[in-house]
Amino acid sequence: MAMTPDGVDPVLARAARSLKEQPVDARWIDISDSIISRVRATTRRTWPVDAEYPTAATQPERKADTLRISDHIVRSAVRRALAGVHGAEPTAIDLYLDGHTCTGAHIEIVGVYGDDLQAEGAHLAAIALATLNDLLGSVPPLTRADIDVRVNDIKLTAE
Amino acid sequence: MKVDDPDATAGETAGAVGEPFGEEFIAAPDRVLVNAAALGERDAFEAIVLRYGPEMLRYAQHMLSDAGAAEEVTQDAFVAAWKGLDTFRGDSSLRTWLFTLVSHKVIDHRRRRSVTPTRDWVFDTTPAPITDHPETRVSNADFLTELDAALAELPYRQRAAWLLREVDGMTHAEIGRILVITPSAVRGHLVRARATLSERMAAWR
Repeated sequence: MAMTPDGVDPVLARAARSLKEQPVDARWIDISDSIISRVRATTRRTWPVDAEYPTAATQPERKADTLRISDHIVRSAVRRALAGVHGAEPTAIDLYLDGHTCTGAHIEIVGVYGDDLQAEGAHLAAIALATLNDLLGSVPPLTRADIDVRVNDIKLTAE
Repeated sequence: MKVDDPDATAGETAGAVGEPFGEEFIAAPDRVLVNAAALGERDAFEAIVLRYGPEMLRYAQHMLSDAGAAEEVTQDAFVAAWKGLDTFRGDSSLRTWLFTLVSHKVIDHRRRRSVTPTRDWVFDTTPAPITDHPETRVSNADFLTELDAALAELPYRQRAAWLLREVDGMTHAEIGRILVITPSAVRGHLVRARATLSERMAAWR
């Protein structure tokens, strides 16, 4: 086996380089579309959460109607509201549920080293509370005490 | 949204206003993508697909020598990843975890296909070169064709270890995690793979 001075077989080095430098498969666009379509069609287990029609306040007849929203939608809405605020990064969002009624939320985040995490936690809880009340309405109305925010990790800089 | 704190509008601007939703994920670190995707953000998962899909597909293609099958196992691996993100706790990197999934799907596919594994004795003799005219063997396409043939003849673990190490640049520990073998065993497979490939590709030296 002929080797270069650094002990590497030049043919195998060329082989590895050739494979690494091969252009992305021309079918990749179609393949990635197929993957994404399959993922979108793949459901995860969800739980319906009671909500109030947004127009219930002005249309009393709507109060009696039933509206339920997937817990995934609720958690995504909270995540989007919190992502990036003070550089925080939500890592878990769990809803407290009594049957189909949301009674609160537990949120875990990665905080930023050196920040006032207590103040930021309170701020994030306020944002989460506002998001939940916007989305679910007052069934029943949530308060600040229903939202737990826990900083479970620290990163050095806000990204 | 109404929040007492005047800074609350910062939450509304994060990844929501001023950019199409999903763009926040294009350059995001893996950790951010995993956390967001685990919370149900399909846009974050799509960013993972676009980031790691091409190299996973390449690995599957070289492991299966069948473009259609490689596409299928890559898709299956990503669907498994989507379903299993809740259980991904960062014990390995996202890339290693995804390669583990595609590696398992490759094995499943080979079992279904009932491929008879190649025996090491096959390489006791030097195979004949693909063409008898060395002067024509200059193009990279010919080189790659012969390399593909040589790789296809390697036993499964040797081929996987060589591809993951030399093409995908993984460490012995990462390869061991993907192939569910020890790093020492990875080193052994690599030594044998290099020796066989070197002999098989000797005509290009």
